[in-house]
Amino acid sequence: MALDHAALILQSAAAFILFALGAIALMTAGSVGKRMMGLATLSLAALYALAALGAPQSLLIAAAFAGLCQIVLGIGLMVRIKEDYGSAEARDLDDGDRESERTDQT
Amino acid sequence: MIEFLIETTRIHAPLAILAALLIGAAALVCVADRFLAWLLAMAAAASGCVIALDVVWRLSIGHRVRLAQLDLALGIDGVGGFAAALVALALFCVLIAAAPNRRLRDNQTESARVEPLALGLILLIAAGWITALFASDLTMMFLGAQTGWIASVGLAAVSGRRDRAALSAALRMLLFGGLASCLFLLGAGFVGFGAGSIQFSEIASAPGFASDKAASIGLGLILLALAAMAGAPPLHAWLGPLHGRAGGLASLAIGVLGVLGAVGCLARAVASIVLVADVAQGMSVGLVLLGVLGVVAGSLQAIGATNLRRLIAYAGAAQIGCILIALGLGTPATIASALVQMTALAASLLALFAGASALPASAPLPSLDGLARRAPLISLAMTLGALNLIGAPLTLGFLGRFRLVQAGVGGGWWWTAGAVIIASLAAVFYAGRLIERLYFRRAQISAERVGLGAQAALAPSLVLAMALIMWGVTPQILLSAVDAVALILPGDVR
Repeated sequence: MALDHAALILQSAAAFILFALGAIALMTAGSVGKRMMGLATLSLAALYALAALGAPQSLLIAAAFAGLCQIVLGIGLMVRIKEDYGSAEARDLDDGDRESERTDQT
Repeated sequence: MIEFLIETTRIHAPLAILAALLIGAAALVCVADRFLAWLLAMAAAASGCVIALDVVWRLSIGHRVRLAQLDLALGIDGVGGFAAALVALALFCVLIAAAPNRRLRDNQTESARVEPLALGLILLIAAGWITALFASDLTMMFLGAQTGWIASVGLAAVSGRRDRAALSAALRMLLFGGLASCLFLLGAGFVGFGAGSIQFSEIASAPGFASDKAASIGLGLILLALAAMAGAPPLHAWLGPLHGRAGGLASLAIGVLGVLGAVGCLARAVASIVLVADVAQGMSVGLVLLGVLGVVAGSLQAIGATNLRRLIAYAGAAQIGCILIALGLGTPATIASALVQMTALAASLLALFAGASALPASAPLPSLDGLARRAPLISLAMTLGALNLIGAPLTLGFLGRFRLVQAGVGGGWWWTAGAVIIASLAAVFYAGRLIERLYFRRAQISAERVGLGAQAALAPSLVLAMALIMWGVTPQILLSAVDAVALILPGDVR
């Protein structure tokens, strides 16, 4: 019983660390690719946490499926962005958007 | 034969609505002709709308609603059914506004026509959120919300056509949605761990649920995730870029359907779990604080907005703050007032976004100057939408706020009146500025003439939106409906 409790706490801690790393990467990474990696890490962390908490199988499958869809869509967007902007760096995207907005306003 | 069909459709109502929308979306992939695609989409939306409104009507008059016991994790409750009907009606109005003979200006340099793909994605957005509203467990709600969200990202990405910033906005929306979905999953995991079940009808009645910390944390995470998807400040970083750069149709569809769906799910979660289980006071305080923050932040951003669609989006976010306050107060009366406010919000967003879709995405506010002369119907609809946001008397917006204040003061929460007054005063500033530009200024910059085709195509949607707003004059039907449905919980309809 005590072992189970300790295992649950350890697993939860591991999931929390993964979650934190993924969230930081998603919000602060310099390139789109790294942000997508952050999203993938977040999804894995959520799956791990669900498994540790004993969530029903249906929820685990739904989580895996949703995560996969997000990654696939993200990769597609990343390719289009690279084609249009010529770069996958977040700073270049923000600069490009600001430039477009300035042109539109004038 | 007809009676048999009607009865069968009624007992399979959630499945029938979803089947209509999903089959419509799938069929649109195979259709190349734009007019045929639009007709198919309208037929699917109309079917879903009729079935959903029938469900709400029967629930509100106390008619016995039977549901087939299929193993599909779909069920009907009062708040979910009402919100689903609202989404279905909004979908119908959005599709009317997307008529194919209209030259939609998705960027400044070229007209863009409505693609069948965009129509299919709009149907998918509605189907996803309606699934979440009819879900009987957290898994189905998660799947529905994710379907709606991912379809929204896709629509934002394809709507921009030549505007690459639409892709950037779609990516930001995807990343934000990914974070929200992970929060939802964590929350569902904690709720299941604490309550022993993820079925809505069983969560609230689980022994010790109200005092279980894991369950409370889980519920808080779920509400946070849904608030982020609804665009409630301060979790709305995706809202401005989306509405500032995506195409007109995407802005209209996501701004109305996505927001309604997410807010409806929030209302459902509160009505069916928080209210019933009498969960710790902290949950209600958290929701109310989020609501107050939403009102303040959304209003300030709307006041400072220089782009029309961003102004509308932030104004909507401020109204969502009022809805969160109503939900946080957690009584059947405040839940009913939240439903009235949701109806008012839907009507406002429809009128304003539909009108704004006739202008370029990056249209600065000065482009509205003198629009009343160039496009009188659009201006009238936008004016009524703005008055609704202000909460002017005789509008539905006024009714929703009045009910919130009435329920709040009746429960001893006098400060609700203050929060509503702040929201209304701020709305007077930014919405009043809008009305002033429409009617009392001459066009300063070389403004494009809004084509007759565009006005004609928008007319039915605008008229419907205006009618909804003016429902505040004789609201008895709406009020009795929301009072009745607010008391129907998951599991009550079998």
